[in-house]
Amino acid sequence: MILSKEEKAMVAGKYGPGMQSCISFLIKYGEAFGADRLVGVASAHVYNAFPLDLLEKMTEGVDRAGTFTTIHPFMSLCDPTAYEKMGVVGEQCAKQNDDHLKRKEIYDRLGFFQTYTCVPMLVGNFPIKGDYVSWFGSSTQLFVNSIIGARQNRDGAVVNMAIAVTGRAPNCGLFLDENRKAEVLIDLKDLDTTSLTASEFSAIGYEIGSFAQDKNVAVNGLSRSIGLDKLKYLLHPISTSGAVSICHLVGITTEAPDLDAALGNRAPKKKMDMGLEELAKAKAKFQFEKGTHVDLVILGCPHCSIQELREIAGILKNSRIGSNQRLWVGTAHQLYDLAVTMGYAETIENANGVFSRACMATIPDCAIPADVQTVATNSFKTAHYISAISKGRIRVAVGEIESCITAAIRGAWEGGS
Amino acid sequence: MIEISGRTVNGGDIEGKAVVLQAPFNFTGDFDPKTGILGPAAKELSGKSIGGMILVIPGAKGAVTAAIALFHAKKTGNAPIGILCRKADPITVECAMVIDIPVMDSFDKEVVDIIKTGDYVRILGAKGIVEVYDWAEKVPDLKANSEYAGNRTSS
Repeated sequence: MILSKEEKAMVAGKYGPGMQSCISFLIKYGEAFGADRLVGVASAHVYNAFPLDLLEKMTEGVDRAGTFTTIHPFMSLCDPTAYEKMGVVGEQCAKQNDDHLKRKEIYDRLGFFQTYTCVPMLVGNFPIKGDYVSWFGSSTQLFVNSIIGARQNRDGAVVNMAIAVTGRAPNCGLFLDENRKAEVLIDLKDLDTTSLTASEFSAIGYEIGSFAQDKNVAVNGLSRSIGLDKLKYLLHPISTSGAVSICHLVGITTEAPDLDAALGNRAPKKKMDMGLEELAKAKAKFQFEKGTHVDLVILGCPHCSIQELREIAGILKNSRIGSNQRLWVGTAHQLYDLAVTMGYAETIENANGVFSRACMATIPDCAIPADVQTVATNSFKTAHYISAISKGRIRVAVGEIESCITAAIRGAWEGGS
Repeated sequence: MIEISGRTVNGGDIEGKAVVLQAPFNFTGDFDPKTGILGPAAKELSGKSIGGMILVIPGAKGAVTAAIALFHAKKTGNAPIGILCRKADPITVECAMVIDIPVMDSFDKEVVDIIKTGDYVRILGAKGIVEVYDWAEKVPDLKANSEYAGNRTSS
């Protein structure tokens, strides 16, 4: 691999043992995939529940992160300011809090921005088309590649941390034009996409991921007028049921002005048509019978945007969450501050909703209180992980924000949409 | 003994018993990092441990936290001591590198067919060679029992 003078100095240990270990790791890793060189990254977004001893080793003697870096949510529902209100078992979180304080010292030293959210693009980490980045989290990776058009590999947590520390990444995989074209085509031509709801988009995304597995995807037949809040629900679950890293939305996203561009002028290797019948089948995967009691409503996977917080507050105005139900709202604390200014936070909290900066898909261990047996959410990703991690202890239904909040107020599930 | 040659991705010499899985391995779902025990996805090998073994797989799949799972598994002695795969993928390489175990790929023969679970395998990273012994053929030399796990001799 060809290295710059600066990179050679990193290898030689000029910037401390942590930098030396990270750059050496990236060189060897890059060589395994034929990278000719390292390239500078515009930003990084890192995993928060990183093993403390490994983090200490990788940052030893390092004064400053190599790039603009933000941080992913708290895992295991252990947001230090929220877990008690959420009724999450305290012992495990207390231990995590000790580690968190030690990690925080490292974050402070390196200048990692303590965003604690899975939507770094909504709180100031916003690269431009063609930038190289390394963001942790399979769905942020999909977003940055597809919507923004910055270039990102499906980096694991350790590779990702090494890139944040050094500010360099191996030039391989999805950094290269030829690897960014779609091989799987999804056609939505029989659906009126302007009338689809957010949770319907989430259902479609979940089907796309199962079908495409780890291949690049193009989705054809979407209306240009759908808007980001719904498109994120389409993209988000694609990397849950599959390991897709890029999904071109034809006519919408940066590298897909038309179908030929998305496919690189080649025929797709696999194709799936999605119509009303397939959509109905997908929606039925996580559903309750009408009248089922809902113990807990989880919104915020991905973390809620300010528009969604407004919607939630609007529905909760003059209402309260019933005493046998709970409502958790995941968002970034920066957006929470805005919601305070706008009055939404007060409305939601007065209604007994709890805000959290944790991963609302409850990864990795579903630390949901034992008295919760039914969850309603608007996210297929949340539904997928809670069902899988709780091993069926908790049943999950997916519906619109309004259906979920109504269930949190009245207790009974009235239907999906 | 059968000798196969391939590409060394992470160096080192190591020897031990092989566990061979035919499907892409999920480091965050297919084994328990606290015990090393394989789950139902491993089919007939379900219930066996990969701790101290040489893992032979086509490649890996699964979550971007795979290397962290393996880092925890290594601390309790439940991580493999080497990985041989058909074609190295980002997850496998990251996992092997974070616990610094030898990993090789791109063999001249189909690695998941040539090596059988229970075979005794010697990885010679610097030479790019793997020696595969039938366990019965090798075990008298070793004065070892079936729980033998090799020690890495160089890197």
